[in-house]
Amino acid sequence: MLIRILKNRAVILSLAAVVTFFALVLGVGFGSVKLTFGECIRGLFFGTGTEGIIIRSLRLPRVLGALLSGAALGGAGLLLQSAVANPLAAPNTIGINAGAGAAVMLSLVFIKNSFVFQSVFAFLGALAAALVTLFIASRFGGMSRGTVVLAGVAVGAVFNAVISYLSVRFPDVLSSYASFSVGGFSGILWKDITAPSAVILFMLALGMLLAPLMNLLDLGDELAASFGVKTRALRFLLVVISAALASASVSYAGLIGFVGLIAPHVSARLIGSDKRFLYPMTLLFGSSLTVLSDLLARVLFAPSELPSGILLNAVGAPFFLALLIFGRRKGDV
Amino acid sequence: MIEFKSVSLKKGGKEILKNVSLRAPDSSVTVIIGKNGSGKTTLLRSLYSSRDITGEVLVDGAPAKEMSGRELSRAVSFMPQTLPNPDIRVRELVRLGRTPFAGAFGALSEADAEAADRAIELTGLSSLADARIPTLSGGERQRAFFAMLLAKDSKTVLLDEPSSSLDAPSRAMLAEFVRALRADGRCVVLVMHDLSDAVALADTVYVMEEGKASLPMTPDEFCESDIPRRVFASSVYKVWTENGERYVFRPADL
Repeated sequence: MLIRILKNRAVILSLAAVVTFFALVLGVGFGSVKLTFGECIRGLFFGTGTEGIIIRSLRLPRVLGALLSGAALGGAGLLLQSAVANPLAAPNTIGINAGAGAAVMLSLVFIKNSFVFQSVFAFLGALAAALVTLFIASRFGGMSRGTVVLAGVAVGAVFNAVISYLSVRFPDVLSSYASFSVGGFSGILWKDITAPSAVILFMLALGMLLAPLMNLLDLGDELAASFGVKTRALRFLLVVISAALASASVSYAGLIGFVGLIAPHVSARLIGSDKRFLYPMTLLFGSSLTVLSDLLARVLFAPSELPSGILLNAVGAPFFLALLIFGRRKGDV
Repeated sequence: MIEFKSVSLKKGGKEILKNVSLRAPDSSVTVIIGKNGSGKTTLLRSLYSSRDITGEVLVDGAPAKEMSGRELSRAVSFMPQTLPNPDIRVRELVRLGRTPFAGAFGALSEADAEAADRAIELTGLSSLADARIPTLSGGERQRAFFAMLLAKDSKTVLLDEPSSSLDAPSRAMLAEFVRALRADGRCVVLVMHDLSDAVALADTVYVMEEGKASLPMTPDEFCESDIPRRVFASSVYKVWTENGERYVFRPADL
């Protein structure tokens, strides 16, 4: 009985939404400064005193930034996996994150503090990296699983070299190269996330609308075309949306890895591969993951803190390996 | 019914289809045979790329290029030669067959879900309805895709080399499936390279050679012509089986 209820996908999604909400509450409620429940509520709703500043101006933007970043990267991962029919595709494996990061660095060096330019640059860098990777993979490797990832690693390495060079050559543009390259949500303010959050919300909604078409795309080009899907246009659109999502996240959170790879895979285990359910599940899982790991990063060694990117990699990578090794099911790729 | 009228296609300066005309009526099995690279598959696919071709493809009398994706999808089912291996359950796959009839966001009505369940039953997959596609055997996977086509319920069914990777029982099931579709008044078009299977199933045979299609032939006309020997380097034998006469093809030099 319990199993049957849990198998209902609406129930699973609702549970995931509840978990995400609690992650959000915990993220706002806990931090290096200990606040009582009453202080949190006062800070949140009345915004007075020190607790008002801590909750409203520091924790809330940071936690929402983490939430949106997790959803954006998870969503981008799923859209990319669908676009290139490859379970290993993700913003960090096909070079999108690095492309966006290099473009952000370039805009910081040459245009200084223009937020609009920075977002546009990040998007163009991400898109360029994705298209170069996919072009190389399709031209020389027939889009095989290995080639896409290998090409992505190579393209990512080039862009990472650009990031490293610029950070050495212009050491003052980035307060901390290390925290940018590993990614994290430390010190995020409202002004950092206003523009990216608009992009992320819009692109996430667009992705949701495409979910039924992604189901058909999974049947391969020929069958999808016989169902009236314009496969080339759809694949391109999916890559563009992923690039927009990942670049928006990179522009304020740096090069967070692994969420884009982990969130879709774990979510598929929990809810199946129907994209209409898998996509929202991936967004919820990705957000909970980033919010909770950011919380841990803040409280584990309080009052000093780790960049969440380190924690995500440290927890995410072994978790993903465990899934690969112990979680294999018959017919898995 | 599907009709290709003087269809030509050039790709990279090379003519892949040369003025092909072919008519596949309802309640009938039309088989296209030819060697690899003769343009059989390209001809079927040209239905979905009607902008790239010269000539015309008509579906039930209407030009395909004027139909919307949804209309065309409802009218014609297509099964590619290489079946994909999506990580979904059999029931989900078969329900995807109802997509051209689905409401907003791919939502299926009660009737659509029932049509899908019926298709699963008809293909004998009830016990595997919740199995994931990647865990199925080759024959079972093919059956799952047949079920998807059945659920789609279109008047015209195009099958590209459906028997190429099947064992004997699955081939028998395929033949049964094709005959059932014909008996149901549908237009079935098969692309095949196995001559014995092709001749056993066909009402009408077209032979494709270097992008050109022959005139329509009955299976008898095909077997008695010089085409099996000239094009396929095969000798034709007539054998008597428990199900009556049958043509058998052997490589000519053996």
